Amino acid sequence: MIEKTFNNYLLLSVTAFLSFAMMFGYLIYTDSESYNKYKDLFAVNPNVIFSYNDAQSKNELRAVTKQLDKLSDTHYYYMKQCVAQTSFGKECEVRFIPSYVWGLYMTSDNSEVGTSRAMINGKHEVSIGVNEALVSEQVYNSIKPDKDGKKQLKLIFTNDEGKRVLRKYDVAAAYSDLNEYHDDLETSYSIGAVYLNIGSVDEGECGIINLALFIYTEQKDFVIQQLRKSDVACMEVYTTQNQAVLDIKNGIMNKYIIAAVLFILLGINLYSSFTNALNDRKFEIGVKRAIGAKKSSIMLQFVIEGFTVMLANTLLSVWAVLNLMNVYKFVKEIVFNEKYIVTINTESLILFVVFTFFLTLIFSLLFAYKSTKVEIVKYLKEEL
Amino acid sequence: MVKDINIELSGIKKSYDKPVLKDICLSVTNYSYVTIVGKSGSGKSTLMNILGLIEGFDGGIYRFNDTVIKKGKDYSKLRYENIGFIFQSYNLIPTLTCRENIMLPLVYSSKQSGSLDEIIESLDIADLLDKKVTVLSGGEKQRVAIARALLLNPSLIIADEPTGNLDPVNTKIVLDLLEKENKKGRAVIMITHDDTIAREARKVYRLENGVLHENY
Repeated sequence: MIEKTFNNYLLLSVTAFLSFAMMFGYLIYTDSESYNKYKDLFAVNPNVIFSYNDAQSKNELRAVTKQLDKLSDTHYYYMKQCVAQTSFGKECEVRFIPSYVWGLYMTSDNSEVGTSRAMINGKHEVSIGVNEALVSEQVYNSIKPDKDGKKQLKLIFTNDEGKRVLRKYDVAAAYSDLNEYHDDLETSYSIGAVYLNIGSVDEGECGIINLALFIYTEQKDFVIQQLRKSDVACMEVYTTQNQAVLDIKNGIMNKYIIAAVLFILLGINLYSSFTNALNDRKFEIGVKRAIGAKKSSIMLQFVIEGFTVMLANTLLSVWAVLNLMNVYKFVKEIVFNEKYIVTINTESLILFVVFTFFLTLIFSLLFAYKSTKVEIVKYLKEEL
Repeated sequence: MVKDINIELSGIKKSYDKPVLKDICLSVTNYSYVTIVGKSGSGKSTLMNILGLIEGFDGGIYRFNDTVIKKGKDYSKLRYENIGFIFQSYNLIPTLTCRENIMLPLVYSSKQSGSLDEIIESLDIADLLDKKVTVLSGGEKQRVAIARALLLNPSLIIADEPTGNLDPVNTKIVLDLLEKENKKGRAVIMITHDDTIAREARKVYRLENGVLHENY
């Protein structure tokens, strides 16, 4: 019986399958694309704002920090930067930071804040004492330990007048960040930055070349405005995230519009497919009514059949689309070497469930209602 | 055991574009064997549909046992409890097997089938049960249709040209079966255009210009 009913509903099944697959495919594709486009952006804390400037911007930065001091929910710290010579003959960038930092700093390409946080002994935060240094793993491995087993980093600083000074630091910890350096110390162009406590060297001894301000704030709009007003650099993701949120919202609006258009188009298709299915079954309805089937029995039969066909095709279309998306993901990852995540958000899922439920409900009930309007006599006479 | 049946038509009228039935009066009870003859288009089938409660009428009184039949009401329960239909075109559902066609009325009725094995045996259709309807001959189809009509032990059999598509051998088989069922107490109303077949019945009516005349 199931097979026979399925044959009768073949056209309807094909229409329903394609309709639901189109809808589900559209939702999952747009959600996945949106997620993969913005996933890195939204992984960054929008409360962290970074201002990286040359040493001449000291006064402007001071003006900004004066404003920041007035805000209770805003914290900041300076990072000063200079260049020093290591005892093994390599030039390195030295970053002076307070003894306690949040572990957030710019990426190797200076483009964003916090997207490439270095792991320091498995943590994102570190405390560095006055005579201590935080070095890259590569530097750490190249320093030979003394007889007590301690590792010491020797740095030669040169001030603006060309005066050189040698300082020694105990290595407090090593960080790993593959973006910062190459494995081979001899050939690498960068050996990774060395982090020192801000009180380690007097400013006059090391020749500060850059100043960076790290800000953590809840009042992003105000802080961004202050930085821009003071004509200093402002690197933040908050504005970009806001723009992305707007894009996503527009996407959601488009989703609803397309869902509504699809609802109407697919509704027309389904109506015609249901009508065809019903025409094929009018003789059967006539016979069943003649042998005593009540209108309610016929209606129930067609509601159940309609729901079964629609539900089966909904599940089938979801299964098919998920498989198709996995093929797409495979192609993205293998051919284009892009990490791709297939996802659908709750809102889309609800939209799809509501969409399929209403199409199923409306057309199953309409189908069942129309089945009761079949005139017994007319269709008994027609089948010869 | 066949239930009591007592149907009475009085002054029944029916029109489509023009009057089809005029003041039809007819009374049928258990053991009645009535044929209605008439030319094509004389309204025989309309009368049969009204009698079988699958079509309404415009005027007159129709009593089916204790129920006064009203226009526009659904009498599906009276139909499956009392009436077995046999059609000229068999009206078997082609997508179902013979067994499924015969058992179909049980889907809509909780009434226990009295004697399915006996019906199958008397109609000699045991070998056909699992076959598709489409591979059967006309006579076989009609026997399956009769089995379906008898399944719920009806007190009234309405047969619309039941032998219309059959050869003489199968015609005799079907008429004998109707005769046999009538002797069990079932009322039989047969519509036909064939006078020879009509004479099988105890009472013959002729439908002419919408008026029912008793022939004998």
